[in-house]
Amino acid sequence: MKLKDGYILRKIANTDMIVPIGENIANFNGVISLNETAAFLWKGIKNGLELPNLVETLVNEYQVDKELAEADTMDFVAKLKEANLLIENA
Amino acid sequence: MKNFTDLLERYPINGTFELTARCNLKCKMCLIRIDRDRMEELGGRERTANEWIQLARQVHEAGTIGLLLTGGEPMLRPDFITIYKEVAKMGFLLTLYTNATMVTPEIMKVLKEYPPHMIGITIYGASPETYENVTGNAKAYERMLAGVEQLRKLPSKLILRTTLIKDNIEDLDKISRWACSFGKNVDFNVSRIVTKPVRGGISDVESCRLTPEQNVAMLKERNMDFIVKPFHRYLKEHPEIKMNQRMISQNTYRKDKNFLSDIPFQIIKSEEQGDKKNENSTHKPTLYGCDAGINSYTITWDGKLIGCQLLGDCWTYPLETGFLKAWDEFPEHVFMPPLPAKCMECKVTCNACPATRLAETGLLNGHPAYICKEGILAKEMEEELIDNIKEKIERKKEKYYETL
Repeated sequence: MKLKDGYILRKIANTDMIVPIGENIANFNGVISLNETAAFLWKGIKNGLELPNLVETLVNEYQVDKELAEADTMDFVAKLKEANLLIENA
Repeated sequence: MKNFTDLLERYPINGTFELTARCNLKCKMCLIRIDRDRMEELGGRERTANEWIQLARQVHEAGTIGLLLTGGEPMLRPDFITIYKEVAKMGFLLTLYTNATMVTPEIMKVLKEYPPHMIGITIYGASPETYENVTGNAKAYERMLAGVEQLRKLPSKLILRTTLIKDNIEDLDKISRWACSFGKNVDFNVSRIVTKPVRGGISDVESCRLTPEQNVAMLKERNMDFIVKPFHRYLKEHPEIKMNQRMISQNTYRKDKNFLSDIPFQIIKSEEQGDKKNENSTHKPTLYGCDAGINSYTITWDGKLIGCQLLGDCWTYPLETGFLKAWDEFPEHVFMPPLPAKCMECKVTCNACPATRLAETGLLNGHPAYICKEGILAKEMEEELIDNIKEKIERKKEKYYETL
């Protein structure tokens, strides 16, 4: 699982945002706003974490149940796929 | 030290980098353009590519997301590609303003690699003759057409912009039809109120800008927001009137609908009035009655941080002190004097704001006679049109009751 190149995470006025650059703007010309957890997961994927490790870091960081962390992570990954921001099997 | 604890929370979200104030064209109405001689007189120097790139890194770190690269004509700089490429990689929502007459294959190569999110192209006329009259360069017309064709190939949002003066107003229909022919993906903006030059600009605006009378006559002819919106407002306030609103709208709208959408009426003034009227309210004040210095800023060609490109009343030095320090200290330098009584008492919504007041009068709170007169005439025109619409509706009602 790898994030596509050319999407940059920015902190703007205390809000995490993804800005597309390069040819990505042909597909999406705007910004994506992330909540704190989503930004945390984004950074995890960027650092090469796969699903089990992502869930584990989420549990450790936010002290939440594993089931809830799994559901949130899967939900976020599904949204990334839907937005065409993810390269699977990379 | 002034107390700014009551000021709105400030974030430098939107920035403008004025890479140069020089231009390859010599537009009669340009607010910004200076030449090298004037630069020397003003005692400034254009900042180097490296300085702009370093500054971009700092504003990126400080949280700027919207960044406009403009001039003058930014492509005039031999190092434009170097600056652009480095800045575009950083992850801004990037806008580029250009006259599209200097689009080289080398520039296109880097723009294809890193397309700006938005490109604003200024169009000065619909023929070489008009370009000669407005910009002093007839050949620039063909070069602009070629440039637009190139830039259209990019996935960037395109905005064609024009500024109306006496020399190009006859071309407006042609420009408008041409701009609208590109379809929904290209917007068309028209500026019709031109202020005097700012920050040492050398153009002779007063000789070429429309008179307030011409301006409002054009407004009336074009049946823009002053007609359509009040008309719709009136209908909304009188729901008992059943009439074919769509049919009447079509009569009042012109063919080129894009023209209707982007005239920047009232916004600045309403904000200015917002601060004026809310002196006793709990709203937190801004610096100039708008976003300038609160959520946006401009870095001038010589490296000064100012509120917006039209302001120049005060500045800080981001390249010398670092951007964050310059941004944080900026409010301490702003002094907004109270508006003159004439403006405080006035009920007309005009286009005056601190920046236009400064440009027109040299004072942040000066009375801008040109803008004032235009506002009064526009209001009279609006009232006349509303009376006309009311009369039409009354006649419609009478006919309706006759049929009962």
